Amino acid sequence: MEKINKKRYWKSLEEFVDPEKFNEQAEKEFMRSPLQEDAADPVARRDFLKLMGASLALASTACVRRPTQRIVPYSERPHDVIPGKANFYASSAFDNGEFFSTIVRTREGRPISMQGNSAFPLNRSALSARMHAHVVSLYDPDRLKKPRIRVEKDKDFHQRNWNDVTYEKMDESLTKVIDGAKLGMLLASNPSPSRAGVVSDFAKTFSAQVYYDDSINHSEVRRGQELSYGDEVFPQYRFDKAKYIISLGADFLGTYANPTANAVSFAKTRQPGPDMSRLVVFEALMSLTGANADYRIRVKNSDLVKVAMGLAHEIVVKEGHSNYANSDLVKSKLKEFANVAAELNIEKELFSQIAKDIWEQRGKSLVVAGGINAKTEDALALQISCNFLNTILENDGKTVDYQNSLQAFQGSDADVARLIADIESGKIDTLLVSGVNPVYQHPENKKLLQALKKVTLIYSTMYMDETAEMADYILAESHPLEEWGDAEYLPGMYNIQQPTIRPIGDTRSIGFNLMTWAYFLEKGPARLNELESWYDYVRWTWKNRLNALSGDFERSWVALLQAGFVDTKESQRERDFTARRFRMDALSQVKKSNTKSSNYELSLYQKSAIGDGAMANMPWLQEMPDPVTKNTWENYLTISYATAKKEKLKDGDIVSLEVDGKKLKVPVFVQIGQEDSTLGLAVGYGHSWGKVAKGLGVNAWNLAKMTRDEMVTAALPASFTKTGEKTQIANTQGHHHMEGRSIVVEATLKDYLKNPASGIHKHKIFSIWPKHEYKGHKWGMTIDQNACIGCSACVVACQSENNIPVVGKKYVLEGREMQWMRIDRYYSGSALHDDIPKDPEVYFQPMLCQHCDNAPCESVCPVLATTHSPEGINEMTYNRCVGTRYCSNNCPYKVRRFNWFAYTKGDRDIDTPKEAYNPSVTVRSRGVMEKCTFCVHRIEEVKAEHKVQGTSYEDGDVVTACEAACPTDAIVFGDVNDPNSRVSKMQAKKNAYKVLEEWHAQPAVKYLTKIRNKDSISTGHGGDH
Amino acid sequence: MIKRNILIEGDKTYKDISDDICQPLESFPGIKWFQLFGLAITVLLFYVCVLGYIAWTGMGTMGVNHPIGWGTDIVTFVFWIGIGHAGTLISAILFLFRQKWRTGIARAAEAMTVFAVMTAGIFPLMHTGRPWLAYWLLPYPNQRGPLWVNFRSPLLWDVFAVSTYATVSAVFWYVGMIPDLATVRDRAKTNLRRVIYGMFSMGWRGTNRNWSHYEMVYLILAGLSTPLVLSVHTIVSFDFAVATLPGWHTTIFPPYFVAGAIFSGFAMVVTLMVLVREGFPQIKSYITLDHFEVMNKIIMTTGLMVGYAYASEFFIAWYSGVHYEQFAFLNRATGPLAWSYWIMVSCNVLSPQIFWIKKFRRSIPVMFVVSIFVNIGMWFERFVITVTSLHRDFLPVNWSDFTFKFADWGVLIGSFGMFFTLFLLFLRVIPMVSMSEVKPCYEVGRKGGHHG
Repeated sequence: MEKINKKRYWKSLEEFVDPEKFNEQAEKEFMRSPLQEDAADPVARRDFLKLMGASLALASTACVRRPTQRIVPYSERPHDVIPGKANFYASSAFDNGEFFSTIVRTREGRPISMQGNSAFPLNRSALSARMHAHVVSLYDPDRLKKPRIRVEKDKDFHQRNWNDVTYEKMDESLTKVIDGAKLGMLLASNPSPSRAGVVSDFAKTFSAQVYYDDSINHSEVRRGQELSYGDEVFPQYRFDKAKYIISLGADFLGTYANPTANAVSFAKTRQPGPDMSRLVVFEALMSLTGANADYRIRVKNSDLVKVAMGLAHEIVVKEGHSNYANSDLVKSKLKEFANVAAELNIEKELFSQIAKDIWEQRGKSLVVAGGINAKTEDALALQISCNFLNTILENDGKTVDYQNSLQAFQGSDADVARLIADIESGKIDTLLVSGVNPVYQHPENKKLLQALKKVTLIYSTMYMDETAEMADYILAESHPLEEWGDAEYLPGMYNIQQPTIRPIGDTRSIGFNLMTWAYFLEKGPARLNELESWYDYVRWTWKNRLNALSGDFERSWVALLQAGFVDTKESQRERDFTARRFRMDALSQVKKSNTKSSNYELSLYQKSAIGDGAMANMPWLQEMPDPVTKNTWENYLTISYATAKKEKLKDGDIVSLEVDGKKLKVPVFVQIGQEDSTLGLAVGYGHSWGKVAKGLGVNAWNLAKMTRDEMVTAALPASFTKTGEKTQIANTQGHHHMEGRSIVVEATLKDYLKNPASGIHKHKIFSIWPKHEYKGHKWGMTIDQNACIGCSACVVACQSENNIPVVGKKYVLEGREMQWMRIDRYYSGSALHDDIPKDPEVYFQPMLCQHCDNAPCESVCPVLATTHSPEGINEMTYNRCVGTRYCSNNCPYKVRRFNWFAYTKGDRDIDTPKEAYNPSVTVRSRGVMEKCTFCVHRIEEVKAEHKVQGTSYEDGDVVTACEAACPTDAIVFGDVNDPNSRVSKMQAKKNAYKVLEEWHAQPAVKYLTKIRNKDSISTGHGGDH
Repeated sequence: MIKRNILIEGDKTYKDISDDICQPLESFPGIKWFQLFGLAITVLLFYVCVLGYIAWTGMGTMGVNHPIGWGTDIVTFVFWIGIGHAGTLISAILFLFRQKWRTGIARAAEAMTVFAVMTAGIFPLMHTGRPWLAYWLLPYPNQRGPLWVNFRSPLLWDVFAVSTYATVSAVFWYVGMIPDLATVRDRAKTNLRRVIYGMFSMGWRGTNRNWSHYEMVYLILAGLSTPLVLSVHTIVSFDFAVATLPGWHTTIFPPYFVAGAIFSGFAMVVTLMVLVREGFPQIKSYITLDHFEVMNKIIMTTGLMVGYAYASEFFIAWYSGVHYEQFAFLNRATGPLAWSYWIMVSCNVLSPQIFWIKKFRRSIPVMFVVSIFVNIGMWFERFVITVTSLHRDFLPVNWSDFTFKFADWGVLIGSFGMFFTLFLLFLRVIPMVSMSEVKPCYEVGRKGGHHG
């Protein structure tokens, strides 16, 4: 009533007609009226006033003198830090089962790169590509800087500090959860004794159950050993002792077990000569190991057991060799494998020959099987038959070193199954996860995902990854370069991991967390409560062990830190052990499976750069061309050439892949040399997190299958349909055939023994000009293509050393990748004429600036930006370069790289963090040309050092980044003017040649021919003209 | 004695000639000119934006990649430099050979030359990674050491060759137009016109001394320009021939490039003159079908010469026995970029063959189409040489493909905007036919002419 009688005032017709709408519009047009704000949220205005009042009060009360903060000039520098001079620390690193003793180079307190510890027998100075990117992961902007807590279920996380004052302390919240909980711990296995110590202390104290799950479990190896011989070990394969190696699907040079150390030991037997070993690989996908095989035989992954047993049949039954020749049990077991060669379409003579040869080499041969690409339902049977073969061949204890076994790969799918069961049965209600990312790695395991939802999940991690999204507490974990650690990877081989930087964020190691919680709850053994830091715990762990060595702990400790490792059982490393008795009942596990599966079988595999995908956020690794496919930035379904032809598929066609009702859309890539009915898909992609990793490729783990609580990743029955969609796969090498050109020169061992220069086409070259004269040093390099396995660690090492930018998928597609060092990969056979061979041979050729004496690039640069040094280095003056790119056009090797854009501004997600740059090397701006410098900064550093010390240069003083990174010593750098240097001696070899020698650019890099240990005569031609 | 055809059609007095030629300068442009000019300047503005985008963002915006270090920029540079050959050839070499027919087309052809060289000159600057430092290619005393340029680099010779050619052809063009500018000055009806044209005619009075000096300077400049016509494209060809790349490293390049340049230059003259005759019908009296016929003969001849060069490259590649050389040429004709090769061959070698028939030689529509074809073909000739040689060279791992990106199209189309803007302005401010040269030729071919 009141309203009606009220007199209305209005300002416009709109207001008169519809005052409500008018008000609404007026509100929108201008700022919201505070009155209305109040009406909507009566608290807001009062809150504002309260906060204002409070801050005013605080401001007035806090009006005291500023707290004293002392700054220290760098002239009073920390002890042993000299600006501009690198410090080196011995350390170690563990990555996905692979172990490295490392030397970390720091500059002004920042770790900037790593290389292997050359004194360490396993990896020596080599590191894997992933390890070179380890330093970047330290500075990864995506890393968690603070712990997080989920205050309410299904709500967002709150970021906390470890020592928060405003909120309840993180540790207090956690100890409340832990105290009295039914605790479980899901951990990645780790060779660290301190870690094992603190975990077992903690587990005992809180009666926690411990489960081990490695991202990639090789539990079938341990189980196979246990069933075959009674002890559950992961043997060390001694490739250096083997003269005849058979791999049954094991990519031991690329991804299986401890690949870098494997490559080191494999290379020792590959020197061309009468003692050169032979490598025979049976595999379905084209792996790095297969690419290096002398004989590579394509078989399905589901047929690998048959191959092993077939070989056993050849040796034991057909030839009547070995102790088992008279065993009826064995004979009857092997009978069904009598016709394996025929069944698998393997050349019969070749198969028999392999069996004969390997028997000849008994005790000096080695059969290896395994890896996720061979983890079929018969994986255990494969291990047992492989063990059986090794026993027949008397390799056990010799090339299969079960005493110096690898203290890794304890994780198993069985543990995961046990964990699920324990959660389901209520035995576990709180779970601490560290080192694994189970949600990412087990998407197929629905039971696990459901189980994880039932528990309070505490997750120690460096990234906000898939598992973190499900967690209730996220413990920001320190990077291994920030924390103390240790390892006993081989029994009695003590390694230490020194931190080289203080934790950058508010992060902790898992070990310290366990100690802290025990301390807060005042439980557990005294060491957990009394020791102040993780460092103290590590030292406590080593006290007894080191005291046992010398009695003087402090001295031994410092010695351990300096050297990085102590080998207490050195005498045990090289000796042979007695063969273990093979338990015949293990053979009952081996059955000849005759299940004819569908047309195609899918095998998951690892790429050597990405591995399990834990480091997928590292742009260096994403852009490292895969050694075999030369693809970057994603995963794809590899299919054989015949399959592609049959299904009318081309590179980049997207197919819908179906395995067991689960579908994935994925582009195909035609991989020459792949078995026709096998499909391959790399794991480690399809992450939901990370500025770099997110959205790259698909998560192949989705397609794995759980069979009897074991994850099956190979020989999965699969089918695919074309979707008609297309994408482009970022390949760095579009052409794979040498076109009859003499680029990688090869010869078989047979020919090489007759004539070491076999295959080299010599040209009679004359010049009217005198040769260049080099007084003093003349730097040169030799690359042994026979040793090179193509692993591409040097590519990433070079990237790390020389601040080489990453360009991203889009620009790789445009052919603009920047790596100075590249590994050219060729297949034999002619691709131009459409007769792509089913069994191509693969050739790797590391290609970098050849530092030509008659450098074609130098004469054409209009501004003299690229010149020749008196020591034979082709130098690039970035400041002077205007970017005509004429030099690149005139380079026969096309090893120069142009900065098409400003790659180093640091504003892209894929840019290398500035902290990881090497301060010794200029960062290039856009528009300039760049290329390999022969690590000239290292040369100059060494020369300066010699000048200061008054000493003179000795061979080996300068080690280039690629040379250090090479596990097989394929790259040798040095002074060619010194006739006794390693490089001179190698260049003088008869099998040394220059690529494109006839072009007379006179490169400073010489290549040694690729030798394949084959019985046939090479197809390559020799002679000269 | 062979009877000469008349050079200037129609019954004209000298005043008629002056009126005809000065008409575009002395009348307000029509709507059509404005439409064309509007289009040209829009494209020019677009060009400036594209160049700015490239300079601001980086060379990566263009299709060039590893290993194809040179792409559209260099291809289009050589294309425009080639166009810039006809003008000086017509005005200098034909002048020395006393070819009177040249007088009708010389001025416009020279204008085309100057504008083409200006258009071309932008590309070598813009194709560098850091164009703001491109002046480092000039050898001048500096405080960086002093740091000099590399006199061994063909790219540096290029800098000299192109800049010399640009200077000399501009001077030659300007000197030739002084008497005409004086005529315009004398006819001027406003003070402003008189002052401007007066300034540029440099006090020309048409006295005997003026003429005597003028003729001498013109002769000397003609003599100077003549070797330059040959040298500039010879040296441009050295950019390729001196490199070691198969497909570039060829001794045939200098004559082959010069022939190609004349070929494309004349084709461009034909294109432009056909258009000019459409726009200004009175010019048909001065630029006659006879002119076109002669030019078409030259086009056909030089077309055969480049055709011969294409063939001989293949022969030499086979004869050399060098695998890489053989592959480079086989790849041109059959590789992934073979389409560009066959565009080149059909446009450059096949299409001019139609001029064997006199009827077509004198047919405006036919010659217009053929001249456009020739220009397309000549752009692709440079594309074939530059890009197909680079995209597959020694090591097969380096092989890649070339894709045109937005910036490639942008600079190619945009450069035409620049050229046509300049040319359209030229038509309105400078007499497009040399009055002082056509007037003495009026009698040629007519009764009473002393040459009979």
